[in-house]
Amino acid sequence: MRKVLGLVLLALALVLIPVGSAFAATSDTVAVTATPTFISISILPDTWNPAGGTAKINKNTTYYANPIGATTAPSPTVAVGECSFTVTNTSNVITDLTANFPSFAGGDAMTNIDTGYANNSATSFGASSYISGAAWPAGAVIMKAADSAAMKVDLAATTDLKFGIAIKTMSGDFTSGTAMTSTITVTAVDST
Amino acid sequence: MKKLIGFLVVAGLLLSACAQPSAPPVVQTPEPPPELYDKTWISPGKVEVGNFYPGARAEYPLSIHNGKDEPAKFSVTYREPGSTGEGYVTAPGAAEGWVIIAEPAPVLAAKETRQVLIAVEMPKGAKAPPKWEFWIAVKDVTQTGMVQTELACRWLVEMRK
Repeated sequence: MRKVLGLVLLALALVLIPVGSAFAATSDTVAVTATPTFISISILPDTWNPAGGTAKINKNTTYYANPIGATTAPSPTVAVGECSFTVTNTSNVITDLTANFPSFAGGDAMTNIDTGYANNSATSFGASSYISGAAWPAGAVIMKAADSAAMKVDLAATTDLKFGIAIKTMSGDFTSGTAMTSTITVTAVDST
Repeated sequence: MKKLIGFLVVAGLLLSACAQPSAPPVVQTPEPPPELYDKTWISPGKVEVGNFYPGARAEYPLSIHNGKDEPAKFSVTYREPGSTGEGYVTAPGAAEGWVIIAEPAPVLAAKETRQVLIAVEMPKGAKAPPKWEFWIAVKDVTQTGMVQTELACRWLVEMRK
C-alpha cells in the first residue's frame, strides 16, 4: 500500500512540474525567438491626384508623382525634386519597403495590368514606383495590385526616402463620368 | 493487483500532465524609444521559429501601438512575403490556414499598446519546405489618404531536421 501511495505522490509531483520545463531538453521543443525591434514609417503627403490639383485624368496618358509636372518624366538619375512623396523610416532598424497599387473601384474601375507603367490596355492601367538617386526608367519597380517587389531595400533607421509613382491610364474611353478610387499601400518590414 | 492499480494511476496522471496545454507566453515588450510615443509601431519586427514540425504549435504576441490622438481600428492579417530571407522560401499555400490571429481587427485607444497573440499550428501530416516565411501585416484602417502605410512582422520558420 505504501508503494502505491509513493507512486501516486511521485505522479502528483511530476504533474506539478511545468510541462515546458520538464520537456525543455527534448528534441521536440519548438524554439521561438524574437528580436526586440520596432517597425514604424510615415509618408507625406498621403494624397495624390495623378493629373495634378483637381484636374481629371485623360485616357492613355502617363502621369508622374513629380512636383515639376504631372506629365514630366524623371531625369535619367531621379532627382529628389522629382519625387512627390517622402517616406520616413521611424523604425529603430533597417527596413525594406514595398508598394502595392490595387485596381480602382467605382467609375470605370481600371484594373492593374501588373506589368509596369509602360503598359496598359483598354481597361487596365500600369504603374511603377521610382526613388531618388535611382536610374530612370531602368530602376523603376513595377507596382502590382499585390505582392510587388521591394521599392527600396535596406532603408536605414530614422532616414527619409523620396519616391514617386508613374501611372499609364487605360487606353479605352472613360464612360462612367464618376470618380474611381484606389489606395496605394507602402509596407515596411525588418530587413536585418 | 495493487501494483497494477498504482501503475495505472501513475500512468494516467503522467499522461494528463503531458496533455496540459502550455499557457500563452507572457512577453514583456521592450521599452520603445521615446520618439516613437506618437508614432504607430509594431514589435517585434521578426519572429524566428526553430525545430518546427507537423503537429507542432508556435506562438508569439505582436505588440501594436496606436500613435494617434484618437482611437484607431487596425487589421491584422496573414500575408505572403514580398521577399524572403536568405535560404527561406514563401510559405506553402496551406500555411494561411495554419496561422491563428487572436484579434484580427483590434480597436486601440489613443496611444494604447496592445499585444495580439499570433500562433502557427501545423497539422500532423502537413508538408512544408525546410525553411519558409510568412508575414503578419498590420494596417491602421482609419487612414483616409490615397497613399497609406502598413507594417509587417516577418515569421521565419525552420523545420526540424
